[in-house]
Amino acid sequence: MLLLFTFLLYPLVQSVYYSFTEWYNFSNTKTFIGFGNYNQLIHDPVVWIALKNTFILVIGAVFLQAGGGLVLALLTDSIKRGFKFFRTVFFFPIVISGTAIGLMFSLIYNYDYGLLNAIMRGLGLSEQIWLTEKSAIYLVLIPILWQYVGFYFVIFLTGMSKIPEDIYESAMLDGITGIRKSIYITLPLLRDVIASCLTLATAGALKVFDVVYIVTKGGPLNSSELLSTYMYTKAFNGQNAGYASTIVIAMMILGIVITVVLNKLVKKEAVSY
Amino acid sequence: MRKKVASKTTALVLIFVVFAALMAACGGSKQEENGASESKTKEITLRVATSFAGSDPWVPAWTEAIKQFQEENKGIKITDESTPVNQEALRTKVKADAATGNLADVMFYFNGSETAILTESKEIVSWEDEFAKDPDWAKQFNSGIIEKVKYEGKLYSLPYIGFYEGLFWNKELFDQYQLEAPTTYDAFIKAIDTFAANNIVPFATSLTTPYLQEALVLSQVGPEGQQKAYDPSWAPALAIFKELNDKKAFPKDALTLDDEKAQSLFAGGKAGMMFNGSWTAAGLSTNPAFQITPFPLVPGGKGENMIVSGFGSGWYMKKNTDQAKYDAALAFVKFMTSPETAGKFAAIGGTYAVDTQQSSSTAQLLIDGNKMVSEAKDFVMPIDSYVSRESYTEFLKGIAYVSAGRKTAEEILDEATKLNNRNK
Repeated sequence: MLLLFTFLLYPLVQSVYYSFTEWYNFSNTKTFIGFGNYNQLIHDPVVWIALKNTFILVIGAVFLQAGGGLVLALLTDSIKRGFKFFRTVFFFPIVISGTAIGLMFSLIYNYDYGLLNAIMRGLGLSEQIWLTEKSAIYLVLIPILWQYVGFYFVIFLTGMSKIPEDIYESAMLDGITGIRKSIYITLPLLRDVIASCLTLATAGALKVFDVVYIVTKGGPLNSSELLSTYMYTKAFNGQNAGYASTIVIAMMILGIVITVVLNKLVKKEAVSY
Repeated sequence: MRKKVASKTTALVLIFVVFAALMAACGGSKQEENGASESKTKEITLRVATSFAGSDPWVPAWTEAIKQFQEENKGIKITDESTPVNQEALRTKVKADAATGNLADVMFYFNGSETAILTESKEIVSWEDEFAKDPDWAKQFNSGIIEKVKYEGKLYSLPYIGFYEGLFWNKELFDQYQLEAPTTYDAFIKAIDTFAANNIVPFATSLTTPYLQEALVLSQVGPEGQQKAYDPSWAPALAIFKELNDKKAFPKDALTLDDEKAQSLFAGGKAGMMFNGSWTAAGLSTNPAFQITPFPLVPGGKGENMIVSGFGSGWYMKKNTDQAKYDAALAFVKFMTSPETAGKFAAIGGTYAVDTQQSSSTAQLLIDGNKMVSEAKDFVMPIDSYVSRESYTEFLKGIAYVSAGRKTAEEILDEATKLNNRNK
């Protein structure tokens, strides 16, 4: 409890307080300004871009990260050979740091020295500017999804291993195999695991920072800005910690709302085998 | 039951150990200070925070200097807390240290508006007393420069390495396309058109970096106008960005490119020109094709042959109640500002506010850079040295919007003025 208070509750309460202050340059002077920062937040066009991008990321995380992990787990679970190989391959990106992945993809997308344009040149096609205002947020999604899909894959695989074999055996006797087995037996029995993964994927998407910051720094023209990268820019480049705290509180409220809604949507009675 | 009690006890012991470790870590410096005053034979540890880190060109000279100082002063150990200036990492570190009363013993840090923040902590030494005690050391500093870096009449930051910004151009490429040196705006524009038509990047820059914007504003409004933060008179200078962008003067990915990649475009011979600081000159000086000149006067401009230059950083020292530690920090600053050490730094590049031992290895580009400084009609410090960080960050972001034709120069200046007025 003491640890929780010291490292979580106290900083949280302080952040709430800072969000109501004008606090520049990390100085010792903070001026209480009421809802001034919140008013600025509502009227800040970049916050709305960041919010839209954060939602894109949440949707991507739910459908492609968690969903992709589930599909890969279902496919891997049904194969007889190479199970360990696929498990290692899919899980591998998770052990690489986000910074390294970000750097790798920033090199891939680079106009002059990048891998993609090298391929384009090799194919005799004209070089492209990959990170544009329209494409940037989707291109930074790729490394993020690639990095975490293995995480959900392993969770689903563990969940599947807990489903008793005799249920599948009974189903087989009834003639249910292949995809029907997955749809009518595996997925319903994994409902609790799916609910947890959706919550994890959502919370994870709200925390994304490193890859986006390294690949695009929120640009071009703020088009790939997330609430986290905008908060960082305001706090450390702009040295406006008061407004940055307001963005943090907005992120926290958003996280709580999405998680509660998601939990209500997927939570039914617990499954017991 | 016994097992439960045992695990609870283990958990409590673990929590206690973690807290004890944390407390010990937090109280480390105080214990150290007390210990140092109790026993003079105990090693003194100096925390030193500078910008000589990451890809900074002076890192080798800095590493060598620390090594040499420690060899010559056996009882003093240097803890190097140097942090790169990129992404404001050094500013954040020093400001956080100042706010928490945890400043390093010696710092090589920005002056100007940053000095104001450090003096708020009331923990910074003003150098006048030490200069009075050691006039020979004081004499090594250029008195004119000393006067320029004072804050409210007091000298907190000892000037050391000065910088300049200039237009680097690739003579080989200019000769190949029979172009005149970009010393006039017409020649500059002709070079841009020619390079763009020949599939060569005319001007290597990232639209997220400040250098070209500083050059254009100074050239347009001159030194006096440059001191009027975000004045509407700056608008024509910013509008040139759109004009240059339309001429395809910048790399195609200038909106997302970072400064290092822009530099490598120029260094690799893929770009005809680049406007950047003296810190890049050391790396470029190995290629004799690279030349330097002040940014040309823009049409109707007031800043002919004027450059952004100065002593934006200096040596700060913390007031230490422990005399031994204070003396050690002072000895370190004197060592760093000695002609021998400064000479080793000077061999890498920059202009110096202290006497330096001559180095025979100075490259032609560095000599030309210093000549450009000595021949300049006037100098100004960069805009960010006197405006609020938040306003400057937004102003800088605004350049990309102007270039892309998404916002007007007036809109950008208006937004920056509002932010600057809010946090003066």
